[in-house]
Order: sequence, then structure tokens, then C-alpha cells
Amino acid sequence: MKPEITEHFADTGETIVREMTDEEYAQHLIDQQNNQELNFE
Amino acid sequence: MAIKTFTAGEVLTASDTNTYLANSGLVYITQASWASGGTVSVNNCFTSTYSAYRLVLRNMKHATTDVNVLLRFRANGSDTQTGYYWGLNAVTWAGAANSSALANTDSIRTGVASSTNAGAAVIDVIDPQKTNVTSVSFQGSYSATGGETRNGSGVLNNTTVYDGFSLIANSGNFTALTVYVYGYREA
Repeated sequence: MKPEITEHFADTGETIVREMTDEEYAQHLIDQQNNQELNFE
Repeated sequence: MAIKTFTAGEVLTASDTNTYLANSGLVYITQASWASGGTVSVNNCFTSTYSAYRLVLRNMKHATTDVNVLLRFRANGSDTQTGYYWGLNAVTWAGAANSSALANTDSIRTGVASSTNAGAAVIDVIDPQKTNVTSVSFQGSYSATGGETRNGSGVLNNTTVYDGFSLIANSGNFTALTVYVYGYREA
């Protein structure tokens, strides 16, 4: 199961929670790896 | 009709009242609050009405640790994941200075979401709806032990027109985050 994201639509005011797409999940994995390389100051 | 000077004895009409009370410098557009996961995306908040926007990020909290909050711009519901350039300067409360920068990377590093005391930041976004680079300036801080103040800027170096953005925990999940979006009046 992929992580969820919170998505808001300014034009309708609607907020939904949905699972990440495959593309978003691939980037999510890169973000996690970068977090180790670019450790927070 | 951005500005009107009323004179003594003049009748203040309902129309003028409604018009000029709304003519603030910053015009509220929308707000979004975290509900689940490590990403808060906002769609359809950038329009041709304004060239510049202010994002106010408050109560940024993380489930387990202190993490960078990454900014990505999105068009038609999809984040752009390349072409970002940014640099920031940070100073801890103990006085230690740090600088970070990246070229042609996948996001812009902005503020901090903390697992103890919430982080906050303001981000100005310039020209997301123009067919030139989208520019960003930001400043923020968080108040946990070992916290720091940050300021920086960056660009998304392409000519795409963007209608939204995402705020992303560099790892793990948020437990709270609210973002307010305002447009800068131009006349």
C-alpha cells in the first residue's frame, strides 16, 4: 500500500485523501533517500 | 478603483464600502490543512488574476522527527520533479551557521516540520502563471531544541504555467500543517 497524500482544490474547496500514484511514489522513495544524503542541519 | 479618498460630508455608499473594504493588499484565495500522509497538495490556487502569491505555513508538525518541508509546483494535478535551483542560509539558536544549495534538483527546500514544537514559514511565489521562471523567496523557523531560523530563495527554471503546489515532508508523515494562500493585489 502506497502512502497517502492530502489534496485540496481551491476552486471547489474540496479536500480529499488519496493514495500516491506510481509516479508520486517513485519520487517519494527518492525523497527519502535524499533525506539521508542531505541530512537536516 | 484601488484607492478612493472620501471627503467630509460625502455619502459612503454600500457599493463603495463593499469595494474598498475588499481592496486589501493581500487577497485571501484558499487554505488547506493536512489530513493524512506526508504531502499536502493544493490545486487551482494560482490564476491569471495575480502575478505574485504568499503562502503562509503554520503548525508544521511531523510524526517522528524534524524534517525539511519541500516545495514543488504542479500543473493539472501533477508535480514537476526537475529544474529547481535553491539556496538557503540557516542559523541555529546556538549561533551555528549553515548554508545549503542545490542546482537542477527535484524540489525547493523550505521550512521545517518538527516532532516537538511546530515549524512555520512564509513563502512568496512570483510568476507561477507566467511563461517564464517561477521564483520563490522564503523564511521560517522552528522552536524545538536545536531549532533554527532559515531564509532562502530559488527558482523553477522552465516556462510552464503552474496552477498549484505541493508541500512534502522529506521523509515520513506530517501530523499537522495548514497553509493559507493569498494573492498580491496589483491595482
